[in-house]
Amino acid sequence: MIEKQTTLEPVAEEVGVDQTVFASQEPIYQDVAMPELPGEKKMAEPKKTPPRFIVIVLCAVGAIMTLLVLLLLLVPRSPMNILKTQASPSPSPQAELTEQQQRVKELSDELKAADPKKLDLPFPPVLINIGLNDERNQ
Amino acid sequence: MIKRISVITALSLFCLLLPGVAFAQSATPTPKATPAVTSSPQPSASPAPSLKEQMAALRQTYRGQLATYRTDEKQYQIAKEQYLQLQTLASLEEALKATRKAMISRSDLLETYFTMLKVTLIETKGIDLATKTSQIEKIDNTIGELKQHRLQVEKALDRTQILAVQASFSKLLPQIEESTYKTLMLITYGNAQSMYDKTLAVTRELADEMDKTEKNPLVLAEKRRGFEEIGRTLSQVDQQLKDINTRINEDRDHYTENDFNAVVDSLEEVFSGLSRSVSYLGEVIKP
Repeated sequence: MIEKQTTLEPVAEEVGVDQTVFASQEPIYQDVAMPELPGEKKMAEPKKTPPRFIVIVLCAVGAIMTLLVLLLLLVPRSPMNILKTQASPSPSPQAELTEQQQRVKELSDELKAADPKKLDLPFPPVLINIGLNDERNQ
Repeated sequence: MIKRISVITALSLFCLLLPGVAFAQSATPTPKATPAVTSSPQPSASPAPSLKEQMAALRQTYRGQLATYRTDEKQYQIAKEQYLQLQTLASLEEALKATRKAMISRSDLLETYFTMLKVTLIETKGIDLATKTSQIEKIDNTIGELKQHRLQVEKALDRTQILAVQASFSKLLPQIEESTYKTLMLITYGNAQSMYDKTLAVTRELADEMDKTEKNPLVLAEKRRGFEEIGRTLSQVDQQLKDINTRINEDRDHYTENDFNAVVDSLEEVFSGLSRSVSYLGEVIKP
C-alpha cells in the first residue's frame, strides 16, 4: 500500500495535468478531427479504383469468353483430325489383301462373332419362389 | 479500368460470334460429303438396323426393369423377414405389398426377356421355318401366360390370394424353362448352321475360281488336294450339325439348362471344325 502511493504521486507531478482536464479535452480533439476526414475522402474518391468485386466479375467473364473462343476454334479441328486418322490407315491393310483373302477374312470374323459361348441372353436372375411361405419351417 | 475490361469483353464476344459464322459456312459441305461415304453400304444394310434398333431398345428396357426388380426383391425379402419375425397385421400388410410389387416387376422383366428371345430367334438364320414358327408361337404363349399372371397379382389383395398366385406361377415354370432353353438351343444351332452354309458357299466359289485361274498343273493339283481336305472337314461338320438338330427337335416336353449346355458343348466341336476349314481356305488361296 505504501509503495503504491509513492509511485502514483511523481507521475501526476511530471504530467502536470489532472485527469478531469484531460477528459474534457478529448471531445475537442475528436471534433477537430471529424471535419478533416470527410474532406480527405472527397479528395480521394475520384482517384479510387472501382469496387473489387466488379473487377473480379469482369475479369472472370473476360477469361471465360477467351476460353470459349479458344475452345470453339480448336473443337471443329479435332473431328477432322479424327476422320483423317481413321481414314488414312484403313485403306492400307485392305489394299494388301486380295479379294479372295478378304472374303476368307470376313468369314473368319463372322465365325468368331457367332461363337455359341458369346450368346448374351442368359435367363434373368430372378427368384422363382416369391411368396409369403415360411421356407425355414419347410 | 472498367473501360478497358469492357473493351476486352466486347472483343471476346465479337470473337465468339465470328467462328459461328465460319461454322455456318463450313457446315454446308459436310452433308454433301457424308452421303457419298455412306451411300454404298446403306442399301445392303437397310433391313438390318430396324431389328438391331428394336433389340437395342429392348436391352435398354431390360436393364431398367432388372434394376427395378432387384430393388423390389430386396424390399420383399426385408418385408417378408419382418413379417415372419413380428407376425403382426401391419407387417403382413407391408409384406403383401412388397410381394405383389416384386411379383409384378419379375413378370415385366420376364416378358421383356422373352420378347428379346423372340426377336433374336426371328433374326437367326439357319433354322427351318416350321421349327422357327412353332417356337415363336410357344414364346408368344409364354408371354401371354406372364401377362395373365401379372393381372392375377394385381388383383391379389390378401395372403390367400398371393399364395394362389404363387402356386400358379410354379405351374408356369416348366413352360418358361422350355421356352427359354429350346429357343437358346435353336439360336445357337441356327448360328452354327448359318456359318456352315456360308463356309461351304465360299469354299465352292473359291474352288471354282481356282479351277479357272490356276494354270500351273502342279499347283492346281496341290490346291485341289487342299480343297478336298476342306470338303472332308465340312462333311464331318455337316454330320455333327444333323445330329444336334435331331437332338434339339426330339419330341420332348421339357428342356433344361443342362440340355442347352450339352448342345453348346457339341456346337463347340462344330465351330472348331468350321474354323479349321476357314484356316485351310486361307492357306489354299495364298498366291
